[in-house]
Amino acid sequence: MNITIAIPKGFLHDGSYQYLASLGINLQIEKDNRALMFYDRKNNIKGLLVRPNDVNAYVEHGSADLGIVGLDLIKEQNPDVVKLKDLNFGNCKLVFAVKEDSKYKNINDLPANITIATKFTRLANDFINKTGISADIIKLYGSIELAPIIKLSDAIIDLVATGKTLTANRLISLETILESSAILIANPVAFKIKKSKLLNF
Amino acid sequence: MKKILRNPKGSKDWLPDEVIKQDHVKNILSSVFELWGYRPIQTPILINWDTLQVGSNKLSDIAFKLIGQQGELLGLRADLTTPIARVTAERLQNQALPFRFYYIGKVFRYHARHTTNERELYQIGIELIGAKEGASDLECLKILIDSLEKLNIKDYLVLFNHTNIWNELFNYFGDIAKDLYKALSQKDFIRFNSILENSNLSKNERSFWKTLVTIKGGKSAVQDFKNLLKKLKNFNLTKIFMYLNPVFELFDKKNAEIDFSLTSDLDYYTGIYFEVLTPNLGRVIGSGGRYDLLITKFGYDVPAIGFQLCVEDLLLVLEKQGKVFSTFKPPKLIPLNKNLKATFNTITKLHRQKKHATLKLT
Repeated sequence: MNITIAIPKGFLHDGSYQYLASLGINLQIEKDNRALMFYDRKNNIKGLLVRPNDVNAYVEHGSADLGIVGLDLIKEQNPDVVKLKDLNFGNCKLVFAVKEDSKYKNINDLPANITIATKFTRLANDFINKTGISADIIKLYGSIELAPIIKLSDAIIDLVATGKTLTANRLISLETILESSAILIANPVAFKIKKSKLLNF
Repeated sequence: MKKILRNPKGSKDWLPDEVIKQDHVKNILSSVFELWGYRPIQTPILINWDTLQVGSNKLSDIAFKLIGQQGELLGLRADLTTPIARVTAERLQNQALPFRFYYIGKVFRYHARHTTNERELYQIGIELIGAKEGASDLECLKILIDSLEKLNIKDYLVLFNHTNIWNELFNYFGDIAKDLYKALSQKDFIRFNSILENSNLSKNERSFWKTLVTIKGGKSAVQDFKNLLKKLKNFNLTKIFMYLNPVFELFDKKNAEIDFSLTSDLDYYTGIYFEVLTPNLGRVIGSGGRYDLLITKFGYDVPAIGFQLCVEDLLLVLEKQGKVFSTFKPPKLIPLNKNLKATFNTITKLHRQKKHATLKLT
């Protein structure tokens, strides 16, 4: 296969397929594999279906030439990859949120030594340093909204697309930390060796 | 149970079979260098922190810093070019030029690489000191290509560019060219494009930059670049084109290509700079370039050029290519005779015939 592209499961999956389809690329499952690899024989392209968190690793190490990943994960993992293009789908925001009935209406109101639950520890630390709030971070891997409800944390830093999950869990955003969307990335060596091909994406 | 003590993060042991592989690479490369008249040089691992800082900010940022018993600041060398520049200025000022040196040695970095945890790596390379830009650049490139071919690295690609191309762009465009350069060195095309969109450059100038980053290749790439320059008024690069002619004459068919948007990894290059890629590894396996001002910083005004290859990466590439390395040949085991002297004589006889033999110990 000439070009290998890492495609994330989950939130960016459908958009990634639509984006590739718009380029005339149609990845199909072939029998005898566990539906983790897809092929477009006509265009000589192989797709790898991976967890969103792993796209950067596949591309950084050169196992995939290209990958589609959220800007949030690029900023969080800081991989050594070429950031080729903003694909303008999968828009979402990384927000700092507290409980709706919280007495804190602004991040400047926050007391010292609050705890923040998040998946994004690097971005959370950057936020703490930038704003000067004093906080401790609890790393969670999912269902972040639960943390303030059961008083595991005072606040959360998490991604929101529509805000429905926040509202449903009676949380309210105090500040947007990052506006994210799907980014096309490339391995730096593959980008140079296959430049003319990869620039068509 | 007794606790097993381990190596610090990012360091590793080389067991005998791995050292054999390492030697394979070292032997091939040192014989290429020696055929070209290069001589081995060694410098200390421990260096004064000032030496490190004089050399390169980028390197001193990732170097190990140590404090001596009297409180003096020391460091571990983070490259070999800097200490060789220092020794040249310190001890070799009155000798006939040029110097042709080659080295094999470890470098130490907190973050040797982005993608792995390694903190010490073997570098092997050459420095050609005391010859100004011109034929010496071609010699250096030729030795690099000889090295890659002798090692049998398949489908390698040597990409190069010249600092004067960027300097002329900085002169012509001013700060925006510096911002664009920075975006490219951070591999960020999203930022690169947004700088262009938000600039007051003319349509022609924008399209100049957008095309520039796509041009890469042999002689034809230079022609593409010349055509592209017509978009700019009074922008002259005749000198660079004169310089590039012999490069293409010699290496056009040898997987050496110019990449006009290539940025340099180190901050001390002052002429041609290049990097080595292979489709078998997702990172650059070697790099080099001209550094005419580095030795001057140590007090001796001589020009120089050199390159380095990473031994660990060369081995990874060779293994991915399916290279089979020679393995350890077990020696003949000679049983202990009551007369130990006779046993040793037997072994010595075999050794004279270049046969491997040793004691059979129970």
